[in-house]
Amino acid sequence: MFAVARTAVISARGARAVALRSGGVGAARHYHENIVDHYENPRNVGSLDKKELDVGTGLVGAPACGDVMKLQIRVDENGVITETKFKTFGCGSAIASSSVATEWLKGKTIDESLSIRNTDIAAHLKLPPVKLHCSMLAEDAIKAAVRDYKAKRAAAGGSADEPKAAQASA
Amino acid sequence: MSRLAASALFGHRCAPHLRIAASAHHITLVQGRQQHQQQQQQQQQPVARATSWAAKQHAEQSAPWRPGRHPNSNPWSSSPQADPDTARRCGSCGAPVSKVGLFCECGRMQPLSHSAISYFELLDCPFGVIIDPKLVERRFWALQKQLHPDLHAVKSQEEQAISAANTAFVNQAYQTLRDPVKRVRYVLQLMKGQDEAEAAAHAERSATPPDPALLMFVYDTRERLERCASEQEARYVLRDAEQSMDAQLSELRGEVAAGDVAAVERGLNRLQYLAKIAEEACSVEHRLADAAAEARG
Repeated sequence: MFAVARTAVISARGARAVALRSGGVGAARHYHENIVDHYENPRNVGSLDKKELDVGTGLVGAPACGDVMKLQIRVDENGVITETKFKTFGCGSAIASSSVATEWLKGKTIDESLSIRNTDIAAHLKLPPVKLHCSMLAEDAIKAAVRDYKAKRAAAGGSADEPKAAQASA
Repeated sequence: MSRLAASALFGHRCAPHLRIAASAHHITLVQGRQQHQQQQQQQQQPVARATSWAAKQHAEQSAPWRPGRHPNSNPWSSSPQADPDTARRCGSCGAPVSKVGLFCECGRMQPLSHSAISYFELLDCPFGVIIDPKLVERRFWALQKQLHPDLHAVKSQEEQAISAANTAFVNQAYQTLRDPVKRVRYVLQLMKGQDEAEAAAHAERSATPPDPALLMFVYDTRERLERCASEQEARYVLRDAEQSMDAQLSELRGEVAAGDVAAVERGLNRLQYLAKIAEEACSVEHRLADAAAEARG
């Protein structure tokens, strides 16, 4: 029980150290190279101006570990995501999960983006079971960003996706 | 983690540990001869007062502490002593033993169990989210002086196993009660009548809806910490976080008293974020202090 809990607490720096030290020996605790890659070279780190009309911002947190994750999307007039940024204060798995999410989001329409599942992220990063909630956080962040974007467009009156939604329901 | 941080975290625990090691031999001698021991110590007491340390040792031994003085300390569960049908019997002499008793009258140690005794009862600490850490620490060491496996090394394998399990149980109780987040989680677990596994499964994905203002505050504070250039700045963040945690605990005390589970869950959520901020601020402070020391040569 305690050993499992402690694994969960391995910090970002710890994750790298463990991965490096146990590299190639086949040790029990070994993070997959995909996590280490995304942790050491996170893609799309930064911020977009959340006040801009074509930007959607998702800010989510995991109370159990106290981590927070911000994920932003910029959507063009065709409803396609052209730019993504994230900033995560959390463990290596949370950083890697959000980094992967921003990579996968680019080029997708906002509706397609909702098809990204935490299980896909977890499978890609080979997250251990105790770290699955990090990938859930990334999925929640995507949903929150899309929700924020849609709410903004609705408030501004009429948008690229509003007519589409109306057609779908008709 | 820096050397400074490590010493700040663990330094205070070194002294009592060494003290235990030093007095282990003495305790082993008196352990297991309790009745005789008590008489002897009552006689010794006036002499022992000569030094404060010795006086403390003897005061604790002359009145061996027994858990369970607050059988109703958890208002959400029935008193463990209330049900005589499930009362334990001593594995050695067969005499009935109270569920919260540590030793049978024959001197044999009794196994402790989560279902029979709460951490608050075990450490004889009034139930609640705010505790007296010094009191809990004192009780913890008093218990370990009776239970630790080193003191029972010459006993039967079964008794050694009981001693090891009880020691682990007491350690867990202490680790839980001294940490504010773990303590509130435990109080919530008792309020909901969950066992440890249920509580862990629930904590994984909290049902409490996210609070956007709180998330914004946490994000901004973490960003502020990231930009900290001086030890002093980080210390301000740490102090603010600790004050907020104290305020949150005071609020939680009222909510626990009112039995408002949803409010306690929300309060625990906030407390967890604040604790993480404090933890980060502490490590940033030590990192900057180390860097400054290195720069000075």
